[in-house]
Amino acid sequence: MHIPENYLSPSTCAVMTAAAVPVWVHSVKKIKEVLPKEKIAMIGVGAAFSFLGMMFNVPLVGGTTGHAVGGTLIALLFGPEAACLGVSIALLLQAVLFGDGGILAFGANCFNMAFVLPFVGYGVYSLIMKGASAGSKPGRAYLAAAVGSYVGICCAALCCAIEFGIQPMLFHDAAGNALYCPYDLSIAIPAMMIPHMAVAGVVEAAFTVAIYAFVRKTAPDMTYEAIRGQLPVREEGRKGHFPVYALVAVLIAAVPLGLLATGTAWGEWGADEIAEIAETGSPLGYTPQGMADGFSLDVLMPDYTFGEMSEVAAYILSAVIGAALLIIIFKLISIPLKGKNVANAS
Amino acid sequence: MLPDWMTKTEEYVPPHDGGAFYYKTLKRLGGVLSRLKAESGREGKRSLPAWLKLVVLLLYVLFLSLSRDRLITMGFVASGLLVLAMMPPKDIWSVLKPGFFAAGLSAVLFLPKVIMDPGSFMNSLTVVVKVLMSVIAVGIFNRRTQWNHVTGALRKFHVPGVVIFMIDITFRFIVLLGNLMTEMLTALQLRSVGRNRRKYDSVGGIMGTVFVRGAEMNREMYEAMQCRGFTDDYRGL
Amino acid sequence: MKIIELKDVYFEYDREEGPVLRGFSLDVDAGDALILQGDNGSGKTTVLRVVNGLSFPGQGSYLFRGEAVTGDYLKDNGRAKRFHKAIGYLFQNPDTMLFNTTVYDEIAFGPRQMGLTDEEVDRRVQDLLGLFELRDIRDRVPYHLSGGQKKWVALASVMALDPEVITLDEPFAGLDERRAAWLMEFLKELKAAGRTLIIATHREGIAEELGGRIRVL
Repeated sequence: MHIPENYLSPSTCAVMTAAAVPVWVHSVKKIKEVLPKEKIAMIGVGAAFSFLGMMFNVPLVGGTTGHAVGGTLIALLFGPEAACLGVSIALLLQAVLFGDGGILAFGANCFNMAFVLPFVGYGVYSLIMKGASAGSKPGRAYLAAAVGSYVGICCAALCCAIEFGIQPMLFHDAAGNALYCPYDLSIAIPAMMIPHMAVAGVVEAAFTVAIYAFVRKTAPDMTYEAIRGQLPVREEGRKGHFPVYALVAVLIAAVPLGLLATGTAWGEWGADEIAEIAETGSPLGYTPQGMADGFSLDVLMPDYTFGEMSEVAAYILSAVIGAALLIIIFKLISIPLKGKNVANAS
Repeated sequence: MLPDWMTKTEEYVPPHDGGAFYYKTLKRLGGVLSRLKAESGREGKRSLPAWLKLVVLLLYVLFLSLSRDRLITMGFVASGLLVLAMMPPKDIWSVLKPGFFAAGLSAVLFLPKVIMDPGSFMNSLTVVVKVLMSVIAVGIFNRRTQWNHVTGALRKFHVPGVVIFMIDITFRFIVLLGNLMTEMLTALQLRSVGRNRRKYDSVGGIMGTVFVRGAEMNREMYEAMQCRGFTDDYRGL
Repeated sequence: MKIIELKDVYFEYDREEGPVLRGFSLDVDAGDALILQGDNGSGKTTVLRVVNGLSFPGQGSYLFRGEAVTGDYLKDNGRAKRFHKAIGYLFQNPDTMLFNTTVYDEIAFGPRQMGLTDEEVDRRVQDLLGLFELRDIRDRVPYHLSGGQKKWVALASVMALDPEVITLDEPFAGLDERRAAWLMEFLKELKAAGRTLIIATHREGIAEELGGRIRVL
């Protein structure tokens, strides 16, 4: 679901970025109000879950791949606003360091995965949980988490498909060849939605529930409900977060599984691949001009690897670097923020 | 016994006096120097012994700078960041600040080369990353190790006593002279209740005194060492 | 038995200021307690410096155990070590004396210079850490300590050499009453153990308590 460089026109990118900015501003404000300082520092752990989740590629129908995003998961742990910032910064690292998702398209990617996904996901979760009493059985919460994350990622995929789909209508040259993404809504929507509803959404739901359940059991103070005082936390639950870090380590060790899916995700082909893609029955036959000579940036580790390096090792190291950077970044962010005064929390 | 002006209460309104800038700058400098504590590093209960950390640090910096394989470089970056991520936020920032400074500096140095030859961008970037990670590694070591344990570590590696001694002594003088400078400037400020046209003279006087006092301390310390049986033989140190 | 003999000593730091000591003589027997008194600038510190072989008289002579102590005499490392081991000097400003990075190393400096084995050094240092109640700060950096603690570390590092003659320059300056009382008891015990004490001080009543004599400069 990472929109690469030059699939969207620069004007679309500008519009999407403009739409994302107020969300970021709101999120920062809200986080300062709601979260205590040390929880802000912990958002990085949530962002690391998301970053790692996005590295587990699963094969989708039609030869493409997809992955979980984990936006709803962070929303369940630290609130939707924290999820917005967490996913945004994870996406930024992916774009700048690993070339996953375009720099110009960063705003659009954030709009889909950092805004639509966690807010919809958390909204659905809250709707289902409405009226549930504090301390009731966790089964309903897990179901709500599953449904919320599923709906969230499908909505995000829909937004993504619409952004792709409007490109050929708005931007084409005199010969009718598209300048950017060549597929219109009638192709883009089913191409994005069917695999996401059938596979990626299920993966997202499973990923979300598994990790949410784990955190709720091992570090219950790390959930948004506990932060807002809706879930009673016993004292011993506040101690170490060792199991959570251990889970991050396990996920890092497991990321090479994401390499098993070999295809390229729909809408993430390189400019060299796209002419051969036969989405409409016959190969496209040309490389859209905006892609051929569009903006491009060398990144340190394109596609999480360096050329001929051992793929598995590079993938694991990328995971370590990404997770460590996210934790560091959020710890740094927490320094200037005063955060909510814990004394007023009760 | 007292002169008559000392027995009366004085009505005093200080004239306006500007230009405290020099005092402040110098005082801050003195403050920074005296706060350079040999004990500033925080060692956890289960911390590795200082000598082992020193070995790891040296190997890390050495092999990071030698590594030509990008995968290995990446491994170094990953492990460095991992250790950094486990530190408390304030420590992370104090480790990163000098790192960014050094990396920024080396980036500026590489800028002309990259402009002349864009193909060298990746290599230059790799070097900048290596500089950043080296400085971060040293910073982590500093944060996590007490200085006085470091000299103990050096001793274990049979670094000549005279070298260790110089390091120790330098540190000690920086701290003591920093203290002295702060104290003198404070005393001067307390007495500067009015306009002082010769402000810069007194600042010069303070710096001169600090220098002379430094030389004196040096001599006295050498004598104190002699009194405890030191005969210019650094081996026993 | 005379352990320290100063005969007709002249000493000047600066020609223009004139001599600090002018024909100064002094005899100290082993086991004596000598209290040096006098106004500021009267030369108490100078006497202690001469006695410790840090300054050498321009005229006159200084005999330690009957041997003349001169610059040439102390050039020989073996003799210098023996001389400095026999006579300890607590400087007025303890900062001067503290140059190691831990309290432990500070106290161990002297015994190490004497060439004792590590076990012997450790035994001495442990005893002194206990005696001066410095155990809790054994790994601290001496020059970051408080004034009283610094003085204790400095004194412990002098005592680590187990000197026969202990010279102290204003040992009571800057000490609180509790520490001052403790120091007094400590000096009494040293005297009782047969050590020779030379103390430059402004504090009243030391000579009476120690049963020593006063020399006014």
